[in-house]
Amino acid sequence: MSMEHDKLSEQLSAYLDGALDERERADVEKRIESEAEVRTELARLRETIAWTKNLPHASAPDSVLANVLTRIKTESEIVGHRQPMTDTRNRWKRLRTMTTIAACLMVAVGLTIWGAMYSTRELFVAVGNSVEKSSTSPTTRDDVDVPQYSPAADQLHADSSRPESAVPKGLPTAQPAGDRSPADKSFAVESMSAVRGRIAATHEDASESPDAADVDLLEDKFDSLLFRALHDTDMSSGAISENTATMQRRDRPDERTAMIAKKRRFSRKIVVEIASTDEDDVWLTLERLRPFLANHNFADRSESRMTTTQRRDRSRGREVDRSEFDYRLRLSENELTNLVLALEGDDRDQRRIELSDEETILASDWSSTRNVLGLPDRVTRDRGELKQRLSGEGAEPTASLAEPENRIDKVGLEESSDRKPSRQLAAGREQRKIESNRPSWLGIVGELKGITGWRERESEDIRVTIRIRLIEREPDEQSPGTLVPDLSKNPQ
Amino acid sequence: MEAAVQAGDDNQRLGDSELVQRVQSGDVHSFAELVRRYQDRIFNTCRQICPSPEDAADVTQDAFLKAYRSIGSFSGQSGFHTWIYRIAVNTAISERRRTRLRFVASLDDADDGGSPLVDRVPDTRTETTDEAIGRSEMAGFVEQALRDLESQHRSVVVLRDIEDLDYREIADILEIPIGTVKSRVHRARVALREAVERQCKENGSASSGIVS
Repeated sequence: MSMEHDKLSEQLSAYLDGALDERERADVEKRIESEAEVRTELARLRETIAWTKNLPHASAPDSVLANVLTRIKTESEIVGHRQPMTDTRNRWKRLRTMTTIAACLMVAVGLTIWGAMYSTRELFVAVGNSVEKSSTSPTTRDDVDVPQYSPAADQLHADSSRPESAVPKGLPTAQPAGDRSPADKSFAVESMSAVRGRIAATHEDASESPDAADVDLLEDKFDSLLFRALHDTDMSSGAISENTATMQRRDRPDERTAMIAKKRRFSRKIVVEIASTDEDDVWLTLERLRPFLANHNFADRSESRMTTTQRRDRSRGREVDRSEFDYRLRLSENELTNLVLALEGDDRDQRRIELSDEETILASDWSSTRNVLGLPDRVTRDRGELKQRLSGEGAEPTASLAEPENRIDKVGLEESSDRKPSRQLAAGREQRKIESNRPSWLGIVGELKGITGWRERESEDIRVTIRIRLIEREPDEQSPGTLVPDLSKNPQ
Repeated sequence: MEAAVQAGDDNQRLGDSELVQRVQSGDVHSFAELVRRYQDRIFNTCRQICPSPEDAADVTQDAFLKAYRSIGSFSGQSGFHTWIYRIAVNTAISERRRTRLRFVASLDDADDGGSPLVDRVPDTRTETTDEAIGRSEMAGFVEQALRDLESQHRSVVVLRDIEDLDYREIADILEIPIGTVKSRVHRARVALREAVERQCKENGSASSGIVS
């Protein structure tokens, strides 16, 4: 089919839709009159349109309206008022803008006391466990802009020994995975509805946080399920919440700290990392991750890690070490397959999860699962390309990262608009991490961020980041077993 | 009760933008009116994107709930119907992807409480002479072909040819340029036609009436 024909055909299509301007329409009509082939093409298009137009129109079931109103009512009752999110966002946007202006003014007139202001940097460094090792040097403003949090270093590898007091009020105490019953293992599908009200409540809380505009992504894409993870598992509590608590305790507002706190709103940060050797796994995980996160205790299948990078402290002209805490969850192919099955426990197909032998076979056959799920071919092609790029000499990390991130967007999970300027920086930092700490990482396949706000008496804001990574090979034989138990083997 | 009925009557006379304003100030009855106005169209759109009517109903509900939750951020720059379509189409596409496993499985699985596709497609080997069956058969082929389209093509063809939205509205809903809408609509139609013709050939029926 020639390009000219394609163009004409497209014009014919637009002609039938009345979407051509006068001149284009005249041209098309001229050709219709003079060329039999064009008339045939037009007839074919017209017929095709008629097929779809003639499809029976369905009416919504009567239950739709009733269910919508019921759910609104239920959520409203839990939240305590009936009003949907109003224009508080706009109000907070304005407030934020004004705050930014005020902050800039303060910076402009207060440069001379800037160092003194940052003498309160302990606010961000947690209780005596400095994230920035150069504790004697003041933090720069650039440093403030970099999202980070600072868990106590000695807690990073002590998930199981988190003090009870570290869990904020309202959060259930973590249940060790080993204590979970088979009923728990059914992944608490019921909780999808059971906690819906609570999700709604968190929506409302979020809407009233100063960064409410940033919550859009969470509401629409994450559907607050990540937020549930904060409630239903202990992966987010412990050190992180203690860190927050520390910050809260130390954050007794004087003017300086208040300003910094606004710039560093996200006093809690959670990074969940899924690593697999198969990019299809990774894609699938994106799809299935949210409810899983919401219902599971990852404490014994995760790895906490402190990574340290160096940043240039411009004002002091020297390097400052900065550490980040990552929570990583590793899944082998088999484990991820099991995870998918587990997540399929939702609603009507729950029986599929309560596995007959046949279904187990189906689920264990990864290629079948992938085919059934209809993962697009381009995933595989892109995967090869990604591998090639990342394994190539002198590969540009940012170039390698850009496309995967876009692809993640295509599957409907978007990156938050928050701190976009730091993406490139983050990519570079990640690359350094790859080189220095984990040579097996191929790179970030995708990263999604949800920002949410959560208030419990005092303002606490949580930053949730999920990193999806493709790794070159499986973790060591012993490692995944200890990190990620096979989900099909239910702990008794 | 009377007050609620009165409010419902008032709402019926209001335009979308007034209703939205009322919802933003906390009037749930106004939101109910918006649901009434658009639920059939939204459901019909979702029906063509989602694998089953049940999923379409769920997605329709979810779309309206999402709209309600975030109506405070709705600025009115586009029409409410554009906005709700956008939410619904995005939700439906996500849902379709999420439930692909269930849908494919249901082809061979008649006892799942739903309506397996194999039951909805008549046995053409014995009934192709009946005109009514032929029409039904063709509708089945078209529906199947629609579902087999890539999601970006399916969305535009549903919005254009089923919901009768113009290119500008589709561009707003899908957040793509009009030129892209134009080319996608055309490609979608071509792909749809090819798929239907292929099914007709494979089933040895209903193809006689197709313009070739």
